[in-house]
Amino acid sequence: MALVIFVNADGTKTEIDIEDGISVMEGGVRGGVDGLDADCGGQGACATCHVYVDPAWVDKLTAPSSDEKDMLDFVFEPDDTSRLSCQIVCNAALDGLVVRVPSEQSGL
Amino acid sequence: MVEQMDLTKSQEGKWVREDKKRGLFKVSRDAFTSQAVFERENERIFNKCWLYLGHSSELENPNDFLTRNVAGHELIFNRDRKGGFNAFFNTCPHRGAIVAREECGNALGFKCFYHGWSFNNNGKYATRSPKGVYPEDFGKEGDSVDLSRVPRLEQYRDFHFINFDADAISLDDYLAGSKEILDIVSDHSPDGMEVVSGVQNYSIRANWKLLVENSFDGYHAAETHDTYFTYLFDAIGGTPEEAMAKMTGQSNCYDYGNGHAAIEGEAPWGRPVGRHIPAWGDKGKEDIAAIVKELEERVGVPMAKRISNGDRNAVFFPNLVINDIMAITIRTLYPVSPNEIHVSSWAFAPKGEPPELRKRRLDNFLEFLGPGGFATPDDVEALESAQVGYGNAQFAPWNDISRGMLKEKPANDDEEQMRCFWREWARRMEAE
Repeated sequence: MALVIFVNADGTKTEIDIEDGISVMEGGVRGGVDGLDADCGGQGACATCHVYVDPAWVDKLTAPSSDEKDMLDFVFEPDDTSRLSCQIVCNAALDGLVVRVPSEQSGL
Repeated sequence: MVEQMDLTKSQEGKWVREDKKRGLFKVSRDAFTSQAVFERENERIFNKCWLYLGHSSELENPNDFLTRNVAGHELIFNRDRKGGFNAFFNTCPHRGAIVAREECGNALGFKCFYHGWSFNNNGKYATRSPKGVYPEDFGKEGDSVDLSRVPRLEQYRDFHFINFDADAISLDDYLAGSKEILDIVSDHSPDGMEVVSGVQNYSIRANWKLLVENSFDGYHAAETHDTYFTYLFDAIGGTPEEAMAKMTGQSNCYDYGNGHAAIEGEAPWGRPVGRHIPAWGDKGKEDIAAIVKELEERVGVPMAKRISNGDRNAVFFPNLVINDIMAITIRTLYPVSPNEIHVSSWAFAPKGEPPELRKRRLDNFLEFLGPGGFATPDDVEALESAQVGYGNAQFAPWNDISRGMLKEKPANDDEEQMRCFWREWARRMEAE
């Protein structure tokens, strides 16, 4: 279990407990976080669950795969902390993870 | 003035003959065997009528989905992230493969296993490809690559129906008076009703309309189901005569319009919603008394009487059966060919029913309604036997469905309910 803190572009904070093995995207979508379109539902196919990971946490996550890096080319205003939240799988080590949800996802 | 029936001449495209004056109703056996009739039924009935898809209780939460074949179409029935109900054709817009391959589950999206095309669970295409692979506006200019939606999806009392005809009348108008049956079975419990998990799927080597008739045939019960009634009286004690003496003798047939009809009466078996039998013991008697009391307070005494003590068999044209008898079954039946039916049956029960009561209900369901029970195998034998008998149609061409036709008020062991079905069938099939 990891408590994940979602911060929306307008500053709204949502804290959600996410079970081990469940992605940050799935936890956020099921928990009602706005701004995660996540159209493909976690297949890594759409690049619409983009988040910015808090800099303090970037190195604590497993590095993105080459597929995810290819997908990150499609997101709206990416930076060095950009990740697809469907590719971040929760476990106890991620307790307290902070991610920022961008103001928009790039539509398909 | 009704023309006298001439059963010596065959008439192309006419299968149903009715002589109201003499009280005769005949159906050509060609309607049960002909490939041309089967194809016309697909075009004029299954592509035009409202067909049962499922019940809300099968999709309790947002993102729940199930897959189901309806009239030969593989479908996804689901709830999207906002909780809305959807019916999609279960085929990838890319090359056609089945997109959702599980019977049921909970998913935010669907991914085709063939090339990996992915979709939001609201049907929206959700697959990113490298730039230049597809046009920039791919899928946006009348070339949709979203999952295709079934043209119509509407519900009444948590029963969801689809229609492949975008121009069909509303479900509400279509169901007409038959909504009474959906109301009655939905009102069995103050906590709502649910489809019990699991389904009975089986096939019969007979024409589907034989099972339509059989599903609300009060006339055949004693003759065909002797095994069941012998077992039943062994189990509940007493004799058929004693059981008959206790009954009120209510016996009704309801013509609900648009080909929907039901029969209603009173049978010797116990009803878990309000008719006790000695086999359930003193505790069972108390349980049933409490259920009846709650019903009376909630729906009033007359309706409580119908719900607790009335056994009813209903057919919603063309092929949804709801039998509210010793248990409740929801049954659909589809022709695979003129000579084969696929049947699906679900048990329907109060939400939160205590285990002891649920056990009685499901025992009842298996004993009589289930394909391995004491009754359905007898029906299957009768239907398959009739289908074999139709091999003689050239020399014995007519079925008789005249029973009770001259009565002012047909009874539940007459055949008026079948005539309601056949009149609607003929209206659709025999039109120019």
